[in-house]
Amino acid sequence: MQHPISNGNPIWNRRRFLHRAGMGMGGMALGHMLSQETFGSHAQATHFPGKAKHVIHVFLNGGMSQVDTFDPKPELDRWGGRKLPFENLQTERRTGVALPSPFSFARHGVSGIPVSDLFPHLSRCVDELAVIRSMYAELPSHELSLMLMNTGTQRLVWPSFGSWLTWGMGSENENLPGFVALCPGGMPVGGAGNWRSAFLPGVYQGTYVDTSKEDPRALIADVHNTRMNRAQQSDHFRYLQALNRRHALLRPDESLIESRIQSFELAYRMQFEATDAFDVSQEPEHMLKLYGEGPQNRQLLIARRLVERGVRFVQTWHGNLQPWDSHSNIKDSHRKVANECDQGLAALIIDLKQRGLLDETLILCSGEFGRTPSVEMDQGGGGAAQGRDHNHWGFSLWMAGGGIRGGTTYGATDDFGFKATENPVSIHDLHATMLHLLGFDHERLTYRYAGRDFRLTDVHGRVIREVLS
Amino acid sequence: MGWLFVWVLQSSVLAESPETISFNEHIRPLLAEHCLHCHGPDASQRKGDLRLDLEAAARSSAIVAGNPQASPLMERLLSQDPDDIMPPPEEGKALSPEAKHLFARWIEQGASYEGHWAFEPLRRVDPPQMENPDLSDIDRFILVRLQEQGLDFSPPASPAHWLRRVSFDLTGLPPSPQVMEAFLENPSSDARAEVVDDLLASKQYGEHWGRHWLDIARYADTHGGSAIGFTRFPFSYTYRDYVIEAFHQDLPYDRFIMEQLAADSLGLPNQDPALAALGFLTVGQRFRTRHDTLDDQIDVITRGLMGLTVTCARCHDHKFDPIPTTDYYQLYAALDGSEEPDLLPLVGQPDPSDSLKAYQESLEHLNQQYTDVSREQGEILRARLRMQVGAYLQALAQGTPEQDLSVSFLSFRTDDLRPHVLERWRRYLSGLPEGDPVFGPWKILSQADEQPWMERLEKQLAIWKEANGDPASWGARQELGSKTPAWNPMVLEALETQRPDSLEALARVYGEVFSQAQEQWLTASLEAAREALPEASVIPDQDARHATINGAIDRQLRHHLYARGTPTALEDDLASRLLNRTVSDHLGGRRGAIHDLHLNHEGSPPRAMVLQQKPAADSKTYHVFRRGNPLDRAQIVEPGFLSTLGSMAPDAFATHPPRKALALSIVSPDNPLTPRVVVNWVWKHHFGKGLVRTPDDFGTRGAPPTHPQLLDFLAQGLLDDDWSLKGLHRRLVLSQTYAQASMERSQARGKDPDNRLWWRMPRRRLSLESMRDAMLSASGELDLSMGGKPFDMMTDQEVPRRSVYGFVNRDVPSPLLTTFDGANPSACTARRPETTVPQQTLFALNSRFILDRATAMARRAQTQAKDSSQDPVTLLYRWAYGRAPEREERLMAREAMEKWQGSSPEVALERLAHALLASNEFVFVD
Repeated sequence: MQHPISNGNPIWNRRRFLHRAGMGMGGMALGHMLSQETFGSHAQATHFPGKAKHVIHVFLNGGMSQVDTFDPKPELDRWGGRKLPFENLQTERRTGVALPSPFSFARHGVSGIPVSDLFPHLSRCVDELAVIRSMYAELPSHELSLMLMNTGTQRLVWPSFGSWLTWGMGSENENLPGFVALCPGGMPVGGAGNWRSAFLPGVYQGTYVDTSKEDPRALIADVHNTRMNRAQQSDHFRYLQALNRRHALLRPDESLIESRIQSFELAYRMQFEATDAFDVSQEPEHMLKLYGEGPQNRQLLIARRLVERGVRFVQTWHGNLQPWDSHSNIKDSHRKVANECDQGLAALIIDLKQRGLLDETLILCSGEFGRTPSVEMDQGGGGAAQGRDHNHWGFSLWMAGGGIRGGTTYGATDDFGFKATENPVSIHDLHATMLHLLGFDHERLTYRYAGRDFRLTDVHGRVIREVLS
Repeated sequence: MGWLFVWVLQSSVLAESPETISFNEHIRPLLAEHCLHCHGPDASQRKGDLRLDLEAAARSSAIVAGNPQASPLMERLLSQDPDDIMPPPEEGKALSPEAKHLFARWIEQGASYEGHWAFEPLRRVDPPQMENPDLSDIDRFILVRLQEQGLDFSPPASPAHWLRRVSFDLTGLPPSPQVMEAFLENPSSDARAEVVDDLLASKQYGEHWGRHWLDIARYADTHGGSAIGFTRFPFSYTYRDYVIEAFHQDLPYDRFIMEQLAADSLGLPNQDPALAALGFLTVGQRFRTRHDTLDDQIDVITRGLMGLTVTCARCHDHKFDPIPTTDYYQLYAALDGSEEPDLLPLVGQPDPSDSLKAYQESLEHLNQQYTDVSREQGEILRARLRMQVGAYLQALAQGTPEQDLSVSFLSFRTDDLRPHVLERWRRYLSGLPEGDPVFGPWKILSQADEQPWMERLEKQLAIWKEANGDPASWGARQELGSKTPAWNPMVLEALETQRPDSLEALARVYGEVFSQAQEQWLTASLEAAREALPEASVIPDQDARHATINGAIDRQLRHHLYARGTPTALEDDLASRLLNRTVSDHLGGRRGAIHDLHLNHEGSPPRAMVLQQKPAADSKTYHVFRRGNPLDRAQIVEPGFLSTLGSMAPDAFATHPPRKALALSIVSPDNPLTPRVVVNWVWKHHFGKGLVRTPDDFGTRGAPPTHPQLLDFLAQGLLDDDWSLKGLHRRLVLSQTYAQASMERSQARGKDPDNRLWWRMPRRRLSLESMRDAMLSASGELDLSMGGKPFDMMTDQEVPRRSVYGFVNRDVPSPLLTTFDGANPSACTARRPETTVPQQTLFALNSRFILDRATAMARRAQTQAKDSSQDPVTLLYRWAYGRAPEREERLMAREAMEKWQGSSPEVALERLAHALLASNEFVFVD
């Protein structure tokens, strides 16, 4: 935000506008720059050169179990079927005795980071990953923890990470939205609240795309004219712009009018270019093979195509509601969802690296919380269902690319994987670290609204330097 | 330091600084932005014990009036030592040389402080004297300032432009071709006044300005915050319709506020339509915690009605404005004493009909089913909790910390402790006297003491037994009149036989005493009930078999389980929230069925989303929550108003329910904020920007008014005119200021780049609602029927009603709303964002909505052209732009259509209509 007193320099504003004018659909709020009579905020430059320029957040919605994936706990095997040597921490439902992981772990790569056999493909890329094993959230509720992970608050209506980022950086591609949320066949719990812009202007809200649809023209609203072919539309467009230019001629020097004329030009081009980004059928056979079948794998390929075209923030959701929420039968249900995305995750890392994009693309793979090492009790009080409850006390996630030091682990949970005990990392710390990688000091990325300077990290947050390269 | 000083004071870049430095205009904004974060009202953030927002405090240490050289403030501002300079470099809020210069000059001129302009009483101001008799009062205020800068008004807009402008401004719709034609024949000032009167009298005025108000009221038709999908309010529309009607009727603005905050305390008859006004408080987001709900209400009241950002004071004293946390919690206390009734009152008397009858029958049926299950399950829960006293006392004995009950996320099983009940036990026990016959021993023994536990127990037991005296004197247990000793003998006996050796053990002992008492009571009740069976023999009331029921000692125990206000005597609504998961899921389903009936049944009559004062018995003590944490309670507060404004309505809080007292304080003629904020809001909607350009922040960090005298003149005028908003509109839109053309003038732009002096009318783009309505109007499809349940603008595109009746989804924002800068339905919006993005123009190029309108418009033109022998192109132009095409435009249209004829004449006309609707002339108002 500019100080009101220093805000009045029209030349400065003008230059700034011209500099930004090409940002288009990427989320640059042109109107703010354009009219000297408007009074609003605007995007900022980064605070320092960041390593990452894009983010892909792979959201394992429902909650990935840490003790079955990235946080092996041999103690759990020894205590299997017995009560843990401490009171089980309070989670959503009652949990009982220790439930050993049905998956086996092995060390991988040069770094030797252990990964369970749920991720055979991904484990080959382990030297690119920084695994944080000491994450914690605040409550064992999906929606609250989803909001916390995405917006930094579980109660109030604040903007999501992607909105902050696109507001802060703009987009590199005028023909695509700057913030895209991909989810096949529905929406996660919390719906559009997960990618809301809240008090930031509506253009910074994530654009939701249902990746179970395969026709790329169906993916962006109004991107396709159903009543005119391309030649007819071109004619029609010329007439429309002639009307507009005539109108503008009688109203000289009006930036508001000029900007809508420019916006028409942009929109017109977008119709033909934007759909390309979502069209994976343009990918060569070996690329489709690398990523594998199924909507989860395919949307990771779409994510790469988007990032490659300059989209700032892509969030891929595993599916409708909460596919990773394995309250029962962790063995089969976690196996199923891991199978659906394992190949694509490895492919994404390999593919980005081959294209030289991994260095500037930060990948985050997380759920909204983890799962209990103890078995969830069913109604009768037994643990026959062999599932795990929500666990906000401790969980794992990983990051890769974009300035992350690969082959790292950070933090630890207790002997059973219940609670983060060593170097606990809050969601605010995670956000601060991600913003740092993108070139922002999380304490200075502020937006003035209702008389207050808001921050994604509110009054919290610490950059986890140990995972930075 | 000396040389630096000289440099600053003489520096040539500063030649333009004003002669007299005004505290409010020049210094206060600098203080607010650069200094007050650490040296302002918030005591917890204050550094170096220095306050700069108060004159006395600043002068006692930082400022020597008249002498900048001797003022430590200047020394710190000008220092080159990074450890000394203020603001500290790490804050990133460095002052410019100009700003430092202003400080120096201000101190030199005596460093006088002024109250913040917005809190100062309204001044009665006379308009400046000017020679031109045609100028309105408003014009004089504006023109004087323009002339000071060597500027003048722009020439007046053409009559056609003026009419289009005023029609959109007052009704959100373009003028009809008939009105346009009539006006252009005689665009006199009388005709203008008549046009304005007609527009203000139209229902469409109520709809358009009602929508503006709904932005303030963060209106939505869904709860917000749903995990999956969304939940609709069945009756939010009654608030929307109330607002529209209030504007239409020109309800005095003070009354409008009174009704929205306290319609339930104004002596209105039951079912009065004005009760729906309370939707202002209740259509906000349904948060999970009461604290957040109240925060939302405080925000909409203070920011929406008074332009103050009071919610900053939820966690700490406001950093920039004189709003301490106590103010926030006074408002919290004023609002918390209200609740929504289970069944909302009807709005008016519904007409009898078959569907109404069917609805009523279903409602009764569903309600009964719900309350039957709820009542019985509540009984079971209470019965179980009375068996679980030991578990709760043990949790307390183990030192379980207090929990914030406003967040509930747990699912319960029978053996799970209910946090609510635990807190009730904690509070209940701490409120009991040490002499309580049952819990006295618990209270005494749970106090910390150096003496070993068992020694204390023995000693106390002897004292208690001694005090009880001879059991023979207590009377027989079956006697209803039996006496009660000082200490409950059953408790003493259990202590004596079990000798608990710790507080936890003591908790177990109490648990057994109570579970036994509860079991005996249930058994005795059952047996006593059986005595009434026909085959049973009669047993006298004071028979020994009735000892459990009659005995005063037993009753002493049961008092703590059954009396009102005891921890396990849960109120029904609380009990219904603590049931086991299976049961509560089931009950949730039944509640949902009632909700669906209200929402979807054809005969469901409108109801008002009211609040009512909770019964006095529920009145509780309110505290400031330190850092907003409800578990960290600081000083006690009473319901009250903002302290910096003083008592706006003396005795209001002593004599009225708190919400009404709050409303009275807001509309008090002594409250300068309310009229200033609303006239600024009306001005903003007519002129594009407010006189105060931060319409929801009149605090020290907001923008000061560009025309402070005019603002007060308008505010005072509103009061003098009995708060009539229509009168205000009339004064504004009939001014010459408003009648100016919206032309760009480079000379004026150079002198006043932001048009703060109003040397032209800013050109504006139609809002989402006006754009959509204007398209429907141009195509002849617009349906002007009013009120009622909302329709979905996305899924029911064929519904041609005005946009104000569109469904507002707070959970899943409509793409139309986010694309076209609609108001944020989750928070009070005084100023919508203004963006230009290609999604908007994609809508204009390709959306089904605009294509369908173009089709309808072309068809209409063809039909009318046949009937009236008018040229269809002329008709399209009139409908879209309110004017006939010029010669060259005709040529362009003909040329384009010739190319399109290939498809068909209809299609060619359609494409022409589409281009007109999409064009800039359609969406911009000159």
